[in-house]
Amino acid sequence: MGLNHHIFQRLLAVAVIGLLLAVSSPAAADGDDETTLQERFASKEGRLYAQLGGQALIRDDFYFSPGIGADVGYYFNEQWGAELRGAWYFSRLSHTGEQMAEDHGFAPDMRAPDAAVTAGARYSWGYGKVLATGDFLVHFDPQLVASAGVTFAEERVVPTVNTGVGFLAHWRFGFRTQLDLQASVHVEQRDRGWIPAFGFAPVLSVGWSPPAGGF
Amino acid sequence: MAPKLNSYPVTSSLVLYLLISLSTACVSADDYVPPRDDIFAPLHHADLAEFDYRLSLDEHAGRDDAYTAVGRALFDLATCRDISDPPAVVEEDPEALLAYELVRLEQKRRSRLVRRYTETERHPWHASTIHEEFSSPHFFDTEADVPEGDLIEWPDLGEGWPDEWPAPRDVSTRCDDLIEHRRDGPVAEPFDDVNEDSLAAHLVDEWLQTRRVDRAVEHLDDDSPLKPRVQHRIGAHRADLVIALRNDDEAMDAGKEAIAESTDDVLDELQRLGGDDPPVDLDLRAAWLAIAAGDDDTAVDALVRLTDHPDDGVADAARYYAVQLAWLDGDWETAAALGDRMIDGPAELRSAYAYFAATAHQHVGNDEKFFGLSRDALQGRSRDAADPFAGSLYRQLLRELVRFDVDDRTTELLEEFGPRAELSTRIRELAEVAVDMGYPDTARQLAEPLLDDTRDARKLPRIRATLALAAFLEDDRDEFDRHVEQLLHRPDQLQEAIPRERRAAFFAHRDTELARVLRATLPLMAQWGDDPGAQALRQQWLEVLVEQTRTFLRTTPESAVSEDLAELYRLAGRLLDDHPRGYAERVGEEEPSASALVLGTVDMPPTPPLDEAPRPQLRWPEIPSLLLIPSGGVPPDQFTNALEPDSESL
Repeated sequence: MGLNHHIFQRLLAVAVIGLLLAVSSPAAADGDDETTLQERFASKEGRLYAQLGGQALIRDDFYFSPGIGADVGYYFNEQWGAELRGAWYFSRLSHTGEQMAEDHGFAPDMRAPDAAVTAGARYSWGYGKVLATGDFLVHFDPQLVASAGVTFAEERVVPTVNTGVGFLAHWRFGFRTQLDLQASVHVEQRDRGWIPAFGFAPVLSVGWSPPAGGF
Repeated sequence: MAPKLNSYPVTSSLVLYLLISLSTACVSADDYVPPRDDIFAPLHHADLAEFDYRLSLDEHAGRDDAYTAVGRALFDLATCRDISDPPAVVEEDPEALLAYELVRLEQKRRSRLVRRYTETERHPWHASTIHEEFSSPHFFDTEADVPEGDLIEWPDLGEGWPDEWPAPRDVSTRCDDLIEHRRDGPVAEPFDDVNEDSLAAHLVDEWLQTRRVDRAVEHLDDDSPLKPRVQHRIGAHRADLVIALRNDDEAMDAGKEAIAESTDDVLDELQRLGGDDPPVDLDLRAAWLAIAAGDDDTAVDALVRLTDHPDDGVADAARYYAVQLAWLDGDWETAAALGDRMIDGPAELRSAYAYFAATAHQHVGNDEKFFGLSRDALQGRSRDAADPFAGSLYRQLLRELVRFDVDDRTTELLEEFGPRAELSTRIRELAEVAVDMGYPDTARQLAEPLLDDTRDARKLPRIRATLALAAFLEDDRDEFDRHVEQLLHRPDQLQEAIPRERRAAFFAHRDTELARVLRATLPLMAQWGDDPGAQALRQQWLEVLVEQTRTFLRTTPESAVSEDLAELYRLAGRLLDDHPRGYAERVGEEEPSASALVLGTVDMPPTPPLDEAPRPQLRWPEIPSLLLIPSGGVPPDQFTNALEPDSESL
């Protein structure tokens, strides 16, 4: 009950943050009743990209699992893209886990995640921009993200599914920053059998996309 | 267990890399700057949506200059929207101000043409003007093109981000309900009493707008090629306006003096613009205005030039007016020189023209042209009471013909002046004119063969009366008696066959002719003079006339003309009793009706009602375009008057 409650709270937080960031559509104001145009700052269609970034796998599992990752992907059009992601976790017992081991000799039934490989899809459902400090613009795509793969946790191979929202910010020269806020589901075969574990997997990546058609 | 990692160097490198990357890759919030290309190019291709798009880009970018305002005014004209007063930026640019004011003038002209259409329903209302295109809902491409490029289309959020620009939009035109537009507002003096939506009000508005154009022209450099180009068009257009004002009863009632003054001004303006070799379009208007203003010399000068107009209708109308004006001025030489050939057109116009031209030739002694023009006008035509000029020309022709001896040529000539079937009528009429003109021998030579050839008994009395009058003029009393007795003769068998109450109508022809003889002879006798021989002759004829009349009145009391004959009888009897020239001492008596006053005959040449002369239109089209439509990179003096869209754009 306690575990599920925590998971629910995290999912709700993810959803609220996503909505606040992504769904910021002010009401139409009075004045000129006209549609406006703008050049898409960075085109995604037909472009490869590669990213490096930091991430974390946050679960109620007595582990502290920060990590780094690398992505490669390709956008078929401005909406849809496919992505392959690899992650390497630097997992260690959390303070509570260490206390439990020292005080009681208990070890967690779950194994510490070491790495993960997932493949998934990204869907850009909009386009947004933010004016920062009155001088700079941040162009971004709010995205829906879903991926599936496996997580390597010591001797175990754990089927993994991630899903959530992403924010892809475009910069000059093809640079990009991507923030994914995902809920993760790991189904691990523990001593009691196949047990799902829910978590939160934020990923902050920086990458680069060569121009369409090459240089 | 995951390996520990001393991550400080890696993290610091990564952070450094991120800082460098992001600081160079930051996106500054720059304003959108539209491309500097020809904003008028889409208009010339009739792509109104694209034209609107280009204008809105400049307006959005704050780059709207005087020509953007001109473009917006042209857009408003094309979509039938109201056009505001020129903004300050336009006021500062002479060429742009001129182009702008011309757009407003064109808009006011359209309003006036539409208003005229509502009165006259003259189709099409925009004939020969640029409004065939500009005001047509189907001429322009009004659908916005899908913008090219990888673009984000933002809905109307009212935010106005500087890096965005207005999207192309479909253009909605209001030209469909152009007829429904109404003028609303005061009218300038002295026309402030006219209805504010009347044609007169529209004309006044348009007139005032031409003055604004004048002021814009004044701001141009003296050597600007635009000046003569625009002044020519505006001068011609102003002439059209003043002509329209003159033709508008409401306007004339409100400001007749102002219109008359304007007529003179515009006429002066046209002459100044035309110079020594005025173009045709100015000449046409100058001629009309000169006629209206009573400036015959100017009118004739212009009309003479217009006789070479390529449109035969205009050339003939000009020739007609020129001949008429010269004729009315008594300038026979000019009238004859201009009227050296017949014109085409309606029969009434040809008759009137032939009358003026032929009689001018008659005055200068050119008989050949006189007869030729008369023949052209009358040949094959029956006499029409509604065509008084044909009748006058015909009578003038007969008066000329009787001066010649009667021979075969006379008949041949008469054949050409009307339908062949009515030749005998013309011979009889020529005989009557011969009597009137004092050529009894000619009258007799013409009438006697008619008497033999005429089978219609109803026509015989008139011929006999003519012969009687000819005999009178030749002092041949026997012949006179013979013809009068024939007139008076009523065969017994005929009288018995006709009931008494119908006899008056049956013998009316004869009785009327008898009265005509008496009515004609009395004044003729009066002018014989006072010498004893003339007096004796007059008495002899009076006795004959009195006797014939007395006999008739006694034997045929039921005659339809008894009353007239009785009056003539009393008059003749009084002249006989009192002596024909004894009237002088009776003038001023208390009962002047009891005296006889017969002065003689007056030669009245046949004159048609000149104020009913036809007034053919000197046709000319509206000025097609009053606009100056700019083009990017083209100097103002090469701005076009109209659009020349290519077929692909439509």
